[in-house]
Amino acid sequence: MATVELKNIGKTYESTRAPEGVRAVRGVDIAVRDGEFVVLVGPSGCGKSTLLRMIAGLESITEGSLAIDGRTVNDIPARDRDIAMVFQNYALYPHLSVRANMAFGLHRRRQYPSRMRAMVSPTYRAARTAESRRIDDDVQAAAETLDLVPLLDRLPRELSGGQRQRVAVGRAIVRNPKVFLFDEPLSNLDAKLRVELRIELRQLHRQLKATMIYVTHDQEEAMGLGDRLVVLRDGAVQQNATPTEVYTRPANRFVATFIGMPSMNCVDGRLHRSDAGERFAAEDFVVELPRGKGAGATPGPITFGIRPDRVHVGAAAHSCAWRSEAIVEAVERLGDRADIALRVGAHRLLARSLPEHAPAEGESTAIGFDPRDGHLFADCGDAARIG
Amino acid sequence: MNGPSNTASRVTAHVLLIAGALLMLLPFIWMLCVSLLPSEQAQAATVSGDLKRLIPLRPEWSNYPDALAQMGSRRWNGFLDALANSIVIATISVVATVLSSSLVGFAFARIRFRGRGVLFVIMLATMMLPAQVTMIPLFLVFRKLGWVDTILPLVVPSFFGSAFFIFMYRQFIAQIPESLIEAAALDGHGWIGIWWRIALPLSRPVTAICAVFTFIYVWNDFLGPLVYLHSDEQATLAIALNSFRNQFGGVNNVHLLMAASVVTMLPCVLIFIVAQKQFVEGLGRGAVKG
Repeated sequence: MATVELKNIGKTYESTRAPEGVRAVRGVDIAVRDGEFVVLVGPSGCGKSTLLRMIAGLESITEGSLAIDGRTVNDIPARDRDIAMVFQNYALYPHLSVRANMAFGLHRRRQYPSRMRAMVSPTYRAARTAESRRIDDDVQAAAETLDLVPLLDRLPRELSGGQRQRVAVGRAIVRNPKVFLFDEPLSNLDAKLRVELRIELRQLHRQLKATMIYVTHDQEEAMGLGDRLVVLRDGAVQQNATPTEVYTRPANRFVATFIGMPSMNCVDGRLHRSDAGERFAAEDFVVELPRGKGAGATPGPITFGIRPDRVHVGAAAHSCAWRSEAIVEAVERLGDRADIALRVGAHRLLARSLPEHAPAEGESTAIGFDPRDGHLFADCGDAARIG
Repeated sequence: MNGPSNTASRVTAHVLLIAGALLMLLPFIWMLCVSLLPSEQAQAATVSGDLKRLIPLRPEWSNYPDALAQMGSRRWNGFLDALANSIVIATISVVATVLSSSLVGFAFARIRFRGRGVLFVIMLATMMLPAQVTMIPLFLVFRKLGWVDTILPLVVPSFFGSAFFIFMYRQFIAQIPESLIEAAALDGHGWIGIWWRIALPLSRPVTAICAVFTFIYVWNDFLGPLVYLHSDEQATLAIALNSFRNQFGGVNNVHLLMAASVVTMLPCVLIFIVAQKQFVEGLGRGAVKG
């Protein structure tokens, strides 16, 4: 296994429309530790797949340097980087059986590749036979890990989506590469299977202790899988932290609203400072901020954010430090929970509660939250976190 | 949609298709029948055009060994030499055309290099050039190389691909998902390895078309061997059959000529039947994707 170090990595595509080119990735600095599971997450077009393909060697790097295990690999072709990748569409060779698909990379890297030499030299033949046996054993072991043994002699077209995905993972692990790359490998599967395979991937990572870099646009998948998340937007890193930190201390408004479902409530207003402390004020929405929160910010335009699971309704709201009355606009009952859209003056806030505590649509209800759970973001530039 | 008008149109279409197929088969059936008739009956059937006399009630199988033994100047050897030459030339040409055309088609489809578009257009433009235009310059080149009366002028050009098949391979290989090519690259293969292990096996329908068309063209080619092969030992079946026609072309020996003709065209028919499934699939795919 290995470390992966990206220093100021950038990618600019040539374009006839833009003479200076189109920048897909800019100034990315990420250091992936040995055995770490890092997830690159972001909306479509944020450059996460491009970044992964640059690590794989499938895209050239136009700026910065990439090192795998301390060795700069910018100019090393994909085939010599010792990296395995699982593609979104699995990319199984359709004319080869599962066994042959899994052994494909191992055969390429044989020490004794020549059949002709094996015919004339008994020593070479013996070494080649032993090597073939080793390859068979490796394939068998990987197949056992992933429950693929009964499928080994089937063709990819004879497998279901989940089985194909497991074969693609098997093809990657059998090679024992330095780094595993996953490019949205679960996105073609149904929701139930996705959750099952997520658990399997997590177990596999624990078992192999391998360095893995995983790309997804699904923030739930990212939170569930990664030791660390790298949130990307417009080709630049927005935050690089553990899933818990990304959720509880988002680096900016984009991360705050992208991570978490439903999205964080954000209200634009102004920060006022007085001897009594700081106060956030918007039309029909005033929050007395707890001591220290927003202390570093300059009074003026600001955004206040609060996660829906921190907003309480009905009786639960009565004990909150911030309380108000709201009109229930809509209630989405999702089985184990209910997402409630509420109107507070000019603002719409989302709250999450147990279904049995959800108020009826159209009625008026109490709403409340603890201001300490709030987040403050600047109202300019990249809307960075200020408290 | 299974109304009476639909059924009627389907019946009409099938009747027309069967009639067309029979029309196409008629010369072949005539040739086959005449090749099995005794000499007098074959003459009578040919001269009178009486279809009833065409039916070989007692097939004369000995027409075949008689015809083949008399091909060329030496008994049996003329036919066997010509057969061997045809097989060697056709086999080398098929293998070389498939390998070179698929390799070039793969490069045009998958490798991004400066001037790719221009080179592809130039390659396509060579399809517009009639073979007769290049015949004399090519002959002069091959004569200069000392290759006249050898099979080299007939097989070496196959190693440089055929514009039509390069085009077919390029269209087909362009449809192979990019991720398969990338997966093979990550598995450690270079361009040649990807072509050999991924692109070529996946292009089986195009390979079937390329192989069958090339085989039929080379097997039936008369002009090429006529220009370049002069001695009897180098003659192909097409040349030997022509000599046979010159020698036994009269109506007296029409049964022998037809027997020799049947033997000459038999490999083409067999190869088409064997490769039919792949072949039709390839043509279909070309029509949809190409």
